[in-house]
Amino acid sequence: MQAQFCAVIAATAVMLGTATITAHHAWNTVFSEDKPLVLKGTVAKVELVNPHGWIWIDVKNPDGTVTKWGIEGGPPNGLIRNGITKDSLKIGEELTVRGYGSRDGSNLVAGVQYERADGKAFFLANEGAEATAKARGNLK
Amino acid sequence: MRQTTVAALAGAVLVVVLLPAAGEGQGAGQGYTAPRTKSGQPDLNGFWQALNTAHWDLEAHDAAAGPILQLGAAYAVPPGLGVVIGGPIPYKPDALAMKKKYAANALKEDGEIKCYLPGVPRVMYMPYPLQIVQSTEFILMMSEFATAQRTINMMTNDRPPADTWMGWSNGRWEGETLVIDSRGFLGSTIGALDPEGAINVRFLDRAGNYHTDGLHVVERIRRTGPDHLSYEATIEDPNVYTRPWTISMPLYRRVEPNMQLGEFKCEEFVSDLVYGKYQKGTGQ
Amino acid sequence: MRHRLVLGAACLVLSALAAGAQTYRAPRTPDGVPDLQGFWTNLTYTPFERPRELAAKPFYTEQEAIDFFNRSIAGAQDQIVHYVNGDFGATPVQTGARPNRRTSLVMDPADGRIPPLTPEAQKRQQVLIAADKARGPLARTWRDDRGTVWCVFHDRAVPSVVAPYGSNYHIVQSKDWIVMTYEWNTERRVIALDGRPHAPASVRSYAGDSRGRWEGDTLVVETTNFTPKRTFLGQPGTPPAVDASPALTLVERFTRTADDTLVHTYTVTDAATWTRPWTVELPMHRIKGPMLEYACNENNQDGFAALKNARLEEAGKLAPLEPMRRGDAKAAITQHEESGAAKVIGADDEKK
Repeated sequence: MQAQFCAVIAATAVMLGTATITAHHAWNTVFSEDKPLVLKGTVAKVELVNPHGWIWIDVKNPDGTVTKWGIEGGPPNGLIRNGITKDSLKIGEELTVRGYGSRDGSNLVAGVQYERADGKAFFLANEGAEATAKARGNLK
Repeated sequence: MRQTTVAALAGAVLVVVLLPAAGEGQGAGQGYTAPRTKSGQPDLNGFWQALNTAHWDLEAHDAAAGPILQLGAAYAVPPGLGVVIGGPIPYKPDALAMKKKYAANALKEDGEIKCYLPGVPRVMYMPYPLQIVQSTEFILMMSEFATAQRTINMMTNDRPPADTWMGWSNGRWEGETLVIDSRGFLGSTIGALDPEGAINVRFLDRAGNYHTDGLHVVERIRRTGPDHLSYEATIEDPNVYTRPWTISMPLYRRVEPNMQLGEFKCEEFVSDLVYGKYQKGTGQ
Repeated sequence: MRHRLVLGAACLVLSALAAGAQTYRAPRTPDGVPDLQGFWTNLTYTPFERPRELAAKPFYTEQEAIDFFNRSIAGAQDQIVHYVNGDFGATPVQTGARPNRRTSLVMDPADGRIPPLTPEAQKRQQVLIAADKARGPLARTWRDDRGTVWCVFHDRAVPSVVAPYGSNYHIVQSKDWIVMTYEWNTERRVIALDGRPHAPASVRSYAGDSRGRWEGDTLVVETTNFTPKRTFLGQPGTPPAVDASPALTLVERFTRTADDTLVHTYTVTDAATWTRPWTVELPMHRIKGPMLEYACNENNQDGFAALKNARLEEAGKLAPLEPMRRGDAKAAITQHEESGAAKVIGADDEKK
């Protein structure tokens, strides 16, 4: 099983041989595609740590109790180089997270999309591969 | 007349040179002017190491048995005169109670055992050499322990963008002294998937003296002679202490020729301990 | 929040021997040597080994290089169950990768591919591959979980190979030392410049023992004393891992060819492992700092999960692992929500 850890594979790059000798851990060992979630809560804690940043949100249950959910994200260095800090998300602000739940049923989510109260996406909006390519590739 | 003056001056110089370097940072080497780097800063480059029992217990302490009987005298607690200036660490009463709990549970609570990054100031007095590599823009302080590394920002004074185990350090020169202001320390592990393995606070030594993510450290480091540094750290954490408090100690140059840091990647030696209960067999 | 690309002059990278490079004189450090300091990325879309159909074509034209670069960005696909790399500014183009005229990072042998292993090295590699197969997909110990092994030593730090993100270095120079800190696992390479000999042969390490000297404006670093505990290559996009002999020697050359370009070329020699030496060229491009610490061991939740879930799966308490699927992660999650498959937690009943 060729599980890749956080791999971004260029479509034109040829896959060269069996790349590994040990089993990777991939996110699908922790999270399951069969458990898509939409989680709405308020930000409780932001930990921008390597290798994976974590955002903790307080989620109100139907019975009025509150459960803390952990959203696992990506590495923070790219965010920080683009001006995002641990204070960019305010404690207590509303956040909606779309992602996948954990295989073992714990309150953890692989975060795919993050949406703030004003409907805007958080983190760096991906401006689109084409725009990026044109900007990057045509400059000498 | 001139001869007498010269003799008197020579005598005065001789006296200064022969003064022993005292343990406190205050008096020792006060008059020493360090050689400069090419960019004009006092030269702190080299290998330095503390030679005391601060890593066992920052406060004055008697010898005591260690936590593991089979390690006998090799891991018993040696006595120490302490490195805290002016008496015991000023804990808030409830924090002192927590310290005693953490101390009693040190095998589980002390990050050193799991090869976690030791943080500041602990990395400065752990019993491992520390290499300082100094440029104009950054000063790196690299410990042999767990390849721990501090990056001191010398030309900016930004707030920490995120919290880390080794903190975010901004440095500046005040004459001969390097003053480093550090914040942005993580206070615990994330523990999302292994609550039992989590650590809840950061130990400053093996005795359970601790800090939280409220830590703020100001250090003062200067050369006091060819082979000595004076090291002081003022520690502040409103979650734990009633006021800031200061530790002070010399750091000694490792003078053996061709000195270099060894590679001590202790993560490898503790992984079976850390992951043991989820493993089939050991990884060795 | 928009990300800001570093839209500096994205010069195409030619080898350090190109005429353009020879006219550039790097600024000096206060100690009077070329200043290589700063934050640098060697992220690239150029494959490590050359595709066989390009064996006789070591260089693209400039336009071909740009087209390849653009296709690579467009073709990068996220895994479905994964954060979106582009949201974190972590993709090579967002970090600072640039078009490269080379068709592979391996530049010698002439076909751009790692030379064959010696017969004894092939045998050693077969032992590794067989052990891997025998383990099966479920991690038994931390050594079966690559992410956790990387918490000990992240071998992409030295010698440098391709990576999907985070392949960045911070270089700091003093009079007698150069330190290159690698972003993954905060690995560090500490290079002595004072002419001292290598450490004794019995002192081995994952990162090896590095000695540097200046040849004109080029920093030449020789690294030996690698520990037998580590392997070489074996990354996604490189040949399978192999363990080397104690004699493996890495010689690297670093030359600054522009304000924002550092050309890094290295040769690996180990006659007991490869039938001949091989040489790689990885251009490095300047990026902004900072480079935050990578505390892997302290934050390895995925390592715990891999082991814990493997035990649960063995006990029949967890459904077996599904193969990971690739695709547009955002489109997939949107579809799950629109189709009603996604469980909504924590919302009141009102929809936007």
